[in-house]
Amino acid sequence: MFRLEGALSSLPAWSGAMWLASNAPGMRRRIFGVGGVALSASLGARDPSITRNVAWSMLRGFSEDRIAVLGEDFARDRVLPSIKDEARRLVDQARASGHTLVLISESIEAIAGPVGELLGFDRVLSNVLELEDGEATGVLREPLIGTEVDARRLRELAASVPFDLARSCAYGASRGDGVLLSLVGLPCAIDPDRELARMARELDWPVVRSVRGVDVVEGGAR
Amino acid sequence: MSAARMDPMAPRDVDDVGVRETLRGRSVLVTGVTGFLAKVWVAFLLDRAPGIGRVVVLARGKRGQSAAARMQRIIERSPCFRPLREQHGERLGAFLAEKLEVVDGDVRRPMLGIDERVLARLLPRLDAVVNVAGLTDFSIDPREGIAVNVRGANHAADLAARTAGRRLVHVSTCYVAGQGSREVDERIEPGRSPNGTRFDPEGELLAIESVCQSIDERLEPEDVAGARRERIETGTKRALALGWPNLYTYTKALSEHLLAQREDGLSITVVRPAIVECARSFPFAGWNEGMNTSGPLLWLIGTVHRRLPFQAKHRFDVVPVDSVARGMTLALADALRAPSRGVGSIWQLASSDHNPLMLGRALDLSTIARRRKYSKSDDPFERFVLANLDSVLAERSAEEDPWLPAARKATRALRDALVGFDPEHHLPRALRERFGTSLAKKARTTAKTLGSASRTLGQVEQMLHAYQPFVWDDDLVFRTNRVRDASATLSDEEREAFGFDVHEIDWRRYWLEVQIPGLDKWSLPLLHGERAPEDPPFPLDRAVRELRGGESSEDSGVIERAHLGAPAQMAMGEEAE
Repeated sequence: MFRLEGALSSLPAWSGAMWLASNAPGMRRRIFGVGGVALSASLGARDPSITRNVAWSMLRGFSEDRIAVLGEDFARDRVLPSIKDEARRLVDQARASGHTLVLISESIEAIAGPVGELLGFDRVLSNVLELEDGEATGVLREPLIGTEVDARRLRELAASVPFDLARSCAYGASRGDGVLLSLVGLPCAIDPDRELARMARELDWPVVRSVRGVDVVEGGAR
Repeated sequence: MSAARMDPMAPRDVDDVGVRETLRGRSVLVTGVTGFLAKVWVAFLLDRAPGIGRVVVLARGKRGQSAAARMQRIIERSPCFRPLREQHGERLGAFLAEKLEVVDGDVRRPMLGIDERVLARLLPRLDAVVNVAGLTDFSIDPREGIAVNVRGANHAADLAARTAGRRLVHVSTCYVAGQGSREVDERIEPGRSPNGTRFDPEGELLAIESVCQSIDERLEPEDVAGARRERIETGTKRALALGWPNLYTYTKALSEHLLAQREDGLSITVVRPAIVECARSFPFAGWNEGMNTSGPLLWLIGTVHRRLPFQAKHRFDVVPVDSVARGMTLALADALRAPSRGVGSIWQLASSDHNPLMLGRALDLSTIARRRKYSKSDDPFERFVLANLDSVLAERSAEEDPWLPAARKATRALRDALVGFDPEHHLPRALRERFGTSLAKKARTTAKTLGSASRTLGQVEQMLHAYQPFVWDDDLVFRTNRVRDASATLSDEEREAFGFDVHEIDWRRYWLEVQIPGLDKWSLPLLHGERAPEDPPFPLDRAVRELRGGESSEDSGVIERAHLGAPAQMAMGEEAE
């Protein structure tokens, strides 16, 4: 299981909302949307749920087609080039080993889906923007995927595919991914934030760092 | 009038024979074959039902080229015939020698203008006549419209009545339904217009012809353009009075009404496609030819004009041309299996009743596609201006919206002011000496640009008026029960080949991956005066057979090579032959 934001790509989830908002129909909506996403991103440090809820609400009234098409464009033109080399290598390695690949993203399905498809993932766990009469309501459908992933949801996914969590690998990058990594038998942190790095040290998880294109693997039992 | 003619929906006994088996060994005459739809259908028929006896195509010799030479050029160079060229390779000539024949003629003339000696050979072996010829311009000159769309259909019917099979398949349009917002069944009530007015189709035809003649006598030959304009205005007024939005639908409807009133027992099948657009898969995804309904709209979305008077919730009844070819094949097979007396069945080939595409959605997708294209352009204007413009739905119809005429008038006034700019008169001496020459040059260049912008705005205005019935006034839902029922009874294999497949269309994919790239490649270049691309020559090893009095060109040993001259001008109405 790979977390898109942080572990695979350095782009935060709200960058997708920003891109879509900057392509809203009409200049006024574009300015308002971009401003809204920027404001919500700045408030995210205090409470990530503000970013999540406010950023995607800027897409209210977007047609399903616009979201799907722009989502694909964003996935292909922005997210894909931002995938870290070492992370891509790990994905390829996991695929070659015959593992079921699961992408976990805080972004919406319209973006995470094409990313998953382009990288060859088997399953994608992401947020879904609610639609009414072919238009986005701006609300994300429950259950949400936030900076943390609900452990129950992961267990349900493991049971439905099925795969054994104890024999699975998971790759995360932030404190929120602690739950994800602690659920699997083979956790790994990629470019972890300070708190996940501390957790990795304490629990002896391997850490992968990509510095200026040079990938370094530190300690931990892999 | 027989009961069968009054109720085309009445069930009939139909043998349960497959499409290929029904077509096996049969001969059909097809008109309008140099046009978009007929060309695709003939290629489709030869590709999917190669067991058909013979397809005889009516073509007109033009610009020194014989009918056969024109057809041969189409087969050798038109991308529409790629599948046949790829499938048969060097043996295509031999295959066509067996399956295809060309007849020189003109739908505007009685018996389609075919030589009597040719008719004597042709008529006894024809099972059906398929009339696809038609002028599709919304504002056609009624004189031409009547000659081709109305009289032409009757000439085809007269000829069909003398054939062995006595069957006519006539291609009309769903929009004969006229103005309004309602469900349209697959039926016709002869002599009743869309707004309920009772009229005599033959009397109507004579009246409009007589009006045209009186206009001609008054204005022609001194003012040819004025006479044409007046004919169009008068004809359009009459069409509107009866409930048809324009001369195209009026003339097409008149032809249906006249066919429905025939009393010679000819079996008539009417096929009504909606808006025929780019192919989904045959001859290949995106193929289009000429300028169809969506082309000008897409062109408009690519300009700076973004206020579009579209009703977002109205249906935009698009059908890919190959889906129409499938429907036509099913209609022909049905006509061959179960001939009727009079108009036996009407086949509407549309999407609105089972997989509708809304105008708002088509506009949104087109805008996104345009922005995608412009955002990668090297032209800074396209990249930084056009790529950031989105179409806006206007709140008023084109007729009521003052913005466009005001913009056009302002542009024109500015242009006139610049044309009249003379540094000698308009600038004080000091400025004149320093900047006079460069300002005068600048003024001339800007005036030229403004003149062109004003003309473009005029075209946009005209176009939006022409399209208003389809994008603002009316919201029609065309029932397509007959073609869908016929598809449902096919075997899996035949459904794959001939089944009406509009229900499968994912409009987003179709619009972005098929329709828009198709229009960009095959249609929009025509708006800029460019030619649509042709395939490299694929010389046939033997000439296409032309049926002549007494013998065919090949029988007589005359091997006629196509002269690879200028391609036929593609424009609206090209389907006329």
